[in-house]
Amino acid sequence: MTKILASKYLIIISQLILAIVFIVAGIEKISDQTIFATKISNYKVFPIWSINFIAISLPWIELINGVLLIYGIRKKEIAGIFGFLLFFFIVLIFISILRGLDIDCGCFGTIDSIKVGYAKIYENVFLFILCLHLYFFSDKKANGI
Amino acid sequence: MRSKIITFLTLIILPIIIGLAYNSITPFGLNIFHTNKKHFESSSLLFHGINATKVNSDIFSLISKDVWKLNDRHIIVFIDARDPWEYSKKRIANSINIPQFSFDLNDPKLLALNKENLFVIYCSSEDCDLSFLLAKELKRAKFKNLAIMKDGIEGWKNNGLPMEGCEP
Repeated sequence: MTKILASKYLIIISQLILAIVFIVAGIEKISDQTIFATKISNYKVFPIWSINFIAISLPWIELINGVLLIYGIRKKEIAGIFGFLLFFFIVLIFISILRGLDIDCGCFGTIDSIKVGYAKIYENVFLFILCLHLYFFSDKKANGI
Repeated sequence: MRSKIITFLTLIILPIIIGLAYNSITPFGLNIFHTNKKHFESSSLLFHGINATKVNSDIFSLISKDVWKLNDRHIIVFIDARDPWEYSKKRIANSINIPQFSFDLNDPKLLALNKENLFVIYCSSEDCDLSFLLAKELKRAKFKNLAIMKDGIEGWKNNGLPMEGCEP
């Protein structure tokens, strides 16, 4: 099993899926920071002073790390950062569902107007598993595969 | 271990610095530490001949004095985005209460409205964002002429403009 998970092809697939998702998410958020800031404020969990700072910095963390991941630079560390972000998003969406908030996720800036819901959690859990895969297996040698 | 921490920090801090630099040169840059709850307004524009600003790409924002001027020239439908109990205490005369928290596209009050009319949405004060959130919902429901009154019912009251309700 470890050999399969450590296969370089599986690693490349995880790497590309994560990189493309985060690059697209980053670009879309950067394209309209105001709308992204509004979507963050809709979650009603962040202090007002922090909203614009998050709207300015988060998309660039996603974009630059996504680009580095495409080239396979610092895979393990980037998988750690993306994993942390995804875990945070999952908790945030879950809290919003519990609070009954009917708001846009804001996950892809302006291109998606998908409401927060369990579908978004499943999507993020899938990406989180890819991060775990990259984090634990990207530097393991797959003997024979 | 130390080098790993440095790598993590670099991968986080470097993009933040680039983001801040981009924000400072783009014309659509935001204030880094926003202190006012009211949403992110851009340059001054005219809305039906009245000075206004734009909150996001489709929604205009006016102050109560200018809304009153606009009321002289056009028929305005006022929409109160607050809770029904707040609405019952004080409101702009002839306003309609559509609480943002329970917004429903199939609300009969909403279906009865002509989407071509001119709507001004308000909530309690400059610190409240219900009017903005409701305006976004109405925009999505294909309402065309929307503006929010950014100083809310407090601004309206402070300017001595006519109100109704059970609270003096």
